[in-house]
Amino acid sequence: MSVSTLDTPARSANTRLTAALPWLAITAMLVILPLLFSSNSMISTLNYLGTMAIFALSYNVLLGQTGLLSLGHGTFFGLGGFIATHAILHMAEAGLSFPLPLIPAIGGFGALILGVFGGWLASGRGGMPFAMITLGLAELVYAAAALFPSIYGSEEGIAIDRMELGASFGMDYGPTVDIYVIIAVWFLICAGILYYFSKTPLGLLTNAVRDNAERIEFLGFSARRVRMLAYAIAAAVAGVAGSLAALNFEIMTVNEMGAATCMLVLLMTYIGGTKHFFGPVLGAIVIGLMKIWLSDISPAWMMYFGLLFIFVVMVQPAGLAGILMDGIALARSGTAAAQAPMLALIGLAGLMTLIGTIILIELAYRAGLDAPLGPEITVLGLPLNTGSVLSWGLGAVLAGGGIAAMRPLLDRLDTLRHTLSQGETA
Amino acid sequence: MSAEVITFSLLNGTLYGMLLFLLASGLTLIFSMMGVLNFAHASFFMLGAYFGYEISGIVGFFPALIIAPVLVGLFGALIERYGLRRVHKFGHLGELLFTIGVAFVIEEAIQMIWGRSPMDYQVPEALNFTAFEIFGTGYPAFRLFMLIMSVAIFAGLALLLTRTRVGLIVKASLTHPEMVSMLGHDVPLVFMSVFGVGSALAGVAGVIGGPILITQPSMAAALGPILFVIVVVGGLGSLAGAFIASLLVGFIQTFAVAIDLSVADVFGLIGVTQPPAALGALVSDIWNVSVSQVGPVIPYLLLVVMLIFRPMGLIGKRA
Repeated sequence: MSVSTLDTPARSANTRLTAALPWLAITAMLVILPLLFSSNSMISTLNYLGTMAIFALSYNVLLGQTGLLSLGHGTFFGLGGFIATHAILHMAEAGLSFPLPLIPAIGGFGALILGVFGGWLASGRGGMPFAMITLGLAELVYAAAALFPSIYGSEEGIAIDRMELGASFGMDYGPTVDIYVIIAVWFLICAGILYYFSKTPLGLLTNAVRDNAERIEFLGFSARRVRMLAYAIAAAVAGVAGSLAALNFEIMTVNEMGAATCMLVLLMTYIGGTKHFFGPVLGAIVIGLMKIWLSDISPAWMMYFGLLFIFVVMVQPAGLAGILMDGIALARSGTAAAQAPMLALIGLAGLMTLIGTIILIELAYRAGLDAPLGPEITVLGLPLNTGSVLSWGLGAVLAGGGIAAMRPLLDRLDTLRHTLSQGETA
Repeated sequence: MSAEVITFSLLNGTLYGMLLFLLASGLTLIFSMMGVLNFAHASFFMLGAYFGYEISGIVGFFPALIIAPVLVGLFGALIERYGLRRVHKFGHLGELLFTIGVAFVIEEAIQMIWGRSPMDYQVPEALNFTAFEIFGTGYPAFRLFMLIMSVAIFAGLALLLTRTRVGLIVKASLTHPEMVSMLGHDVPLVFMSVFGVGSALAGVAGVIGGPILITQPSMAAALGPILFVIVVVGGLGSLAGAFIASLLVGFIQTFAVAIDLSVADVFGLIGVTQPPAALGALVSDIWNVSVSQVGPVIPYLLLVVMLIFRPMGLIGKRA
């Protein structure tokens, strides 16, 4: 697969610097973050977010880059984690000393091998059949896991002690910060590899398979092989993420590779944005934080995930990263000031809808699932009561009014943008 | 296996298979029409069960058997009209993602309204008796009723599709939508109706399946993957294939439960009673696994085997 025409001429030092800037910024951020949030629970949160960011990046190789919707990516997260836990257990038992930070490489390699096999099965066709086959494979592995308690543990999973392999690189891996270092370094490695991969001839071929698989076949490439390789690479990186999760929590359970994990990675990646390389990272951070914080303050957090997902699918398929990019493009266009009042109105209508929806959902949860807690509830500082028509009315009016106002406002914004762009060309 | 076990497994397998086909038929129709697999189909089934439970508590089981599926069908039609049709411009991926989101929200909404624990959805009094006895064991009338209902709906659907003008228009809309629209038929309305009817069929399956399979928030997630196995194994978009695959999966799952045979039993026949220690922990894991424990794995194994040897499914067009 050598495509020599793709070789770009040597870039000038200037463009190289611009290309390196985001990476330098990310590295600096990874160094600064644990200094800013040094409490143990915050580091633990950062570890979780880092793991999920790697996981979501790996998923985007399939979803964004190759256009394949996998419903079973969590399998490789889990399998990678189990391979890592067993590697640690066996090496500790044999008394071998092995640097702990390299354990994810083992998990990733194991997942790569399994990914080649899974990819061979699943990649015959793209689109809908691919989605169903990956779902079937994931269910197969999940259902079969119950038959092998010595590999997957039973209900309580397989526990490890990450300090058992001894100290290396000047760390003994007891404190959470040590694990943070491992995760941060692996994040840089994985993101770097995946970014580089997206620029290689094979990486460009995956884009071509996404856009027109038939044409790729006519050009003499095997779309199936391209899908299979993309699947295997995604599986390997997911395996690394799973191994890191195993190191972080010191336990691996069968649930980690269940339908919930497969669903979570889809939500994170798609909400973050599949069309930009760092979109999934954004999604992992937002959804990860929502999962940790929102689940403390509201019983409806899963509902919010679902609604946010439907909103992104229906209105903004480019995801949060797309919204961010639109904002940057708007700021650069020089017409931001002229559009500002209209955008503020739209923002207001959106805020109204959001608050109204939150009120309605919180009221509904209190009236249904959480009825034993009593009818009184405080939402966003507002004292509400599930028994009062006024509370429900407030939510309905806000949500309904916001939605009703949105359509004419968006039409006006279109007209405004149209006149602005005409003024430019005139 | 005794003749008794075989007879009951045959009956229950047919019953379960027909129930699966009630769901798979709607799913297949919607797939061949829109090219999208409705991920929320099993959620419509769950909605049917909950609606059936709630409505039969108010007006009784038989009116609920009509009202609940109609409600589910209307809900499905609305989802198609205001959701799926809007995301159509983003391609099949957007449509599939949308139905995944709908399935997610329905599961959450059901927990929000009815709570997380199973509902006490009982077999209706009028059907709570023994229909007939074979080998001294009674067969519940409700199961017989389920069987008759599913077969009747299957026959009705087959007649509707093959013998009536409506069926003709639907089938033509699947293959030649432009031509049908040229002849003055409202194709989007046909699509919406088929989606609605497919959802209503899932609703019927929910109402009659609810009392037997437990009515709980996880019932959609438990059944959904099996449905996809059926649709793939039968051949994407093939109703006849879905029918065969439904019965196949129904029989596999009921017979697997009935067979109480493990690896240890097989080796016991040749005098080996202990797993050879040299083969390690893996073999001793498998040693005590019985066929009934493997039951849940078999459909997915069938899927994988099918993909390796016959990727287009039992009755499917070449990929």
